[in-house]
Amino acid sequence: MKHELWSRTWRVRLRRRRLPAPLDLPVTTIVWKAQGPRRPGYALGLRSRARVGLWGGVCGALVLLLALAWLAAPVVHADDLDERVRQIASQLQCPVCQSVSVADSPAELARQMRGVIREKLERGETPEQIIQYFVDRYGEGVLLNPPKRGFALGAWLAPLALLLVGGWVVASFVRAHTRRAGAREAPDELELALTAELERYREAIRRELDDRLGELTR
Amino acid sequence: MLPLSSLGFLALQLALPVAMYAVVAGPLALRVRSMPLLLSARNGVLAVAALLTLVSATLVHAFVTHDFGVRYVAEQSSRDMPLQYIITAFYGGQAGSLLYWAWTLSLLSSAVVVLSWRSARPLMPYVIAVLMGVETFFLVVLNFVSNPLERLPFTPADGRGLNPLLKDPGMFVHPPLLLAGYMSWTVPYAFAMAALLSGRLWNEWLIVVRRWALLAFTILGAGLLMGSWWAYHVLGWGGYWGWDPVENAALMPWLTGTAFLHSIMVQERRGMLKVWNLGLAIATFALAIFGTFVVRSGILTSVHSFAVSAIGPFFFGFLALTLIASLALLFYRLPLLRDEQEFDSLVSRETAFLVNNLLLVALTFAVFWGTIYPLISEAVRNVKMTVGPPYYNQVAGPLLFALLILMGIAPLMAWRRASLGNLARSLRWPAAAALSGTMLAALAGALKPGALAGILAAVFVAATVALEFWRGIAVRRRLAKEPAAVALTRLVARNRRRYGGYIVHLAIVLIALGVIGSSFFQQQREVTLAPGERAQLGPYTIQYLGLSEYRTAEARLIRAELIAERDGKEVAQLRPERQFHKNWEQQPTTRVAIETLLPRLEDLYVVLVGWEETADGYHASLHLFVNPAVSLIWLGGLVFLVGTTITLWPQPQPARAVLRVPAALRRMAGSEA
Repeated sequence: MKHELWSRTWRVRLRRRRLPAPLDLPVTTIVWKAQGPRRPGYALGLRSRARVGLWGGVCGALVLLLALAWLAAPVVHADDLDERVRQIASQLQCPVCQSVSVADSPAELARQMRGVIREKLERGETPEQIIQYFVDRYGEGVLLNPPKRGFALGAWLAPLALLLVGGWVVASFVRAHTRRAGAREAPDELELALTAELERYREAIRRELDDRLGELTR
Repeated sequence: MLPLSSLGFLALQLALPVAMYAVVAGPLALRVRSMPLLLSARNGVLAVAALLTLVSATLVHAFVTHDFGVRYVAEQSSRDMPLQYIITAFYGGQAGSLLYWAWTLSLLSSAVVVLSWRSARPLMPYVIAVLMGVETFFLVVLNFVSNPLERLPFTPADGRGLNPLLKDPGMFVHPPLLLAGYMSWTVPYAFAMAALLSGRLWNEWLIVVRRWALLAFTILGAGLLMGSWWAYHVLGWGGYWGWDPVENAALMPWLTGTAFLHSIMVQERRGMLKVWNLGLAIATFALAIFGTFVVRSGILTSVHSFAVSAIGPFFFGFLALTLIASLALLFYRLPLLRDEQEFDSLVSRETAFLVNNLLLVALTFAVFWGTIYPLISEAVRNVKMTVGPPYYNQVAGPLLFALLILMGIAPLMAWRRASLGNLARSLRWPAAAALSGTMLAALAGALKPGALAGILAAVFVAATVALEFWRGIAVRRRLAKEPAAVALTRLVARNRRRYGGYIVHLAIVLIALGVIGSSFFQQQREVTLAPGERAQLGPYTIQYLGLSEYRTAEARLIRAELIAERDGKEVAQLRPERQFHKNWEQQPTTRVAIETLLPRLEDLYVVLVGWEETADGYHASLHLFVNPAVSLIWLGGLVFLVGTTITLWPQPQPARAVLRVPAALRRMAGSEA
């Protein structure tokens, strides 16, 4: 039996099979099979597995090219003095401003601090030494980035902890609620195959329903 | 004769008992089953709106007529201010902005009782009570702590004038949008509480609240974008988002609100996550109150807290009371909040929404934690510490990346149970587009891992949205035989919520690309130039021509004249300024010169930092920036508004189905009656 759906031809076949015990009953299932070219792989005469391979190959090649481009790219060093001054200054809070870094602040003091950073860099001091110099003068509050040690470590750990605990809660919640559903009706292979096959129709129906539901639920 | 402001003072006092009456009358009407009482509670809401409109009108009148006998007018305005800034001074200070909050809440409450009256009448007594309860709190603060219409014992000759930072066109829209954005999260909260109080905990409240929540999401989102725009154009540090405590406070309710808008879809369709949705509505409201409190209390130092005062304890008390009462009620109702269905599979749209919520809540928490950690540090060990942009960028970056990736996958996942094979098949095109887009970006020289990852995710989302549109159009073309353009408009018009949502996703993509471009590829230089001298920044040569001085009625302006060239061709004339406002000479403001250069989509951004007189004229110190892609953020803002407008736009009511009753039956019914 052939069936026209959208612009494709589908072969619809009825298949009789028996359900596993204890529901040992003969049932009729409907099997749809699409005919005719649709996906690019078909045009090349490739079978399903080969098509997956084609796509995998294309994606892999792109990733590879990307990696090559990355390697081939000129490495940008922060050897430019301006850039190095900026990198250090952007880690320091402008003491007379509110929530603006030394790098970004238009304030006079920030300008002087940038000058100090430049001088110290020219004298050959390391960024760590320079930052320590400002911490000694203005206190730990001058650091925009809380150090990852001591008390300030708490600033970093809490969000991470929340994400991990939250992820665990979500996962166990979903699993707990899925397992119960799964225990009721364990899908067999045929059902899974059908689910996959019917997914496309569901999508079309859902789309149609969205139209209607949008109207009805308003 | 009494000044008009006294009338407003009186109206403000009168509004308090009226609001309190509505709080009591609503639930009481339900108890004694009295429709007239319920209608009087509703009229109470409308009366509060009328009274507060009168109060606001008298305050504006006091501003416009320079009635400096009103303390707030004297503090916020002066005679020489242009009219438009005199009106914005209304919400420039603490008392006025609280009045604005209360006033807009009364207007929105009226809109709620009028527009949602029919669709949610059983909830209305409690909705009125909660809305007016919040209103009562603000009216108490306005009447007893921070009264905008309080009169001074004498009338000064002139006022102090508005902080010059606030004298900017951005001021017309940014603060009112932001405050209204905070305010409008009261409505979802009121409906959530009404559902809890009445025990009507099925989807009824959600379906009504959806549009109000969407409205709040739109207003607050627009407020955030306008805030960035204002910061970019006025503050003069080359950026638009500084992870400042006040910005964070505004971002947090928007994030939890976004989570709410997504997770209510799960409850609508599948009857799950009921407790979670109620919790999100409560949390969003609490964060909105926290935001108002942060802006207005000065508890966290910030560029935005222009007023510091005694309202802190009031807000803190209200916040604590709200949270404790709401959570206690939620706990009390837990037995009624059983989920109706279970998850069918780990791979489903439901799970995707759960992960989306997890990421948004984690992001909110990270922002919250970073904002209050300095306070904790000071309280616990008495050491000042700072949590600044590098922290937020490191924490928020990966979370935003994960959110984007999820945004690319989730729309293609089926509800209940997505088959992995189908999902993978659907994802081929977006994945290929994302990889190609990243390749192109890499070839164009965007060789920074973070930026490439961001571009990958952004293109991925855009491709998914495009695929969804394409599929929808293809279905309509096949089934209804419509041409593509017609199919597109009908598709969007018939599913405003879904496709409007996708357009909002596109807006997020544009904003993400703008943020990636400007934060990874900004170039900048500080230079001091003599007249005629040139400086090179990236591909641009910037020539300084000279300095000039202007005077207006209220300010002295110093302006630098610059010409920007690229490949020997003039591309822009730039005129950055420094402004010294009367009464605020110690706080000169900067007027940034910004020129968006189209083919490369870069902003030339020049700040006049200072100048020095020498023998050969004025030397100017300039801060030069090249900010790539920032205009994409503003474009994204427009797309955001388009998307939310489509989603909010009322869908035409479906034609009512007419049931034809056979004549015989009709006769029978007639004879019975």
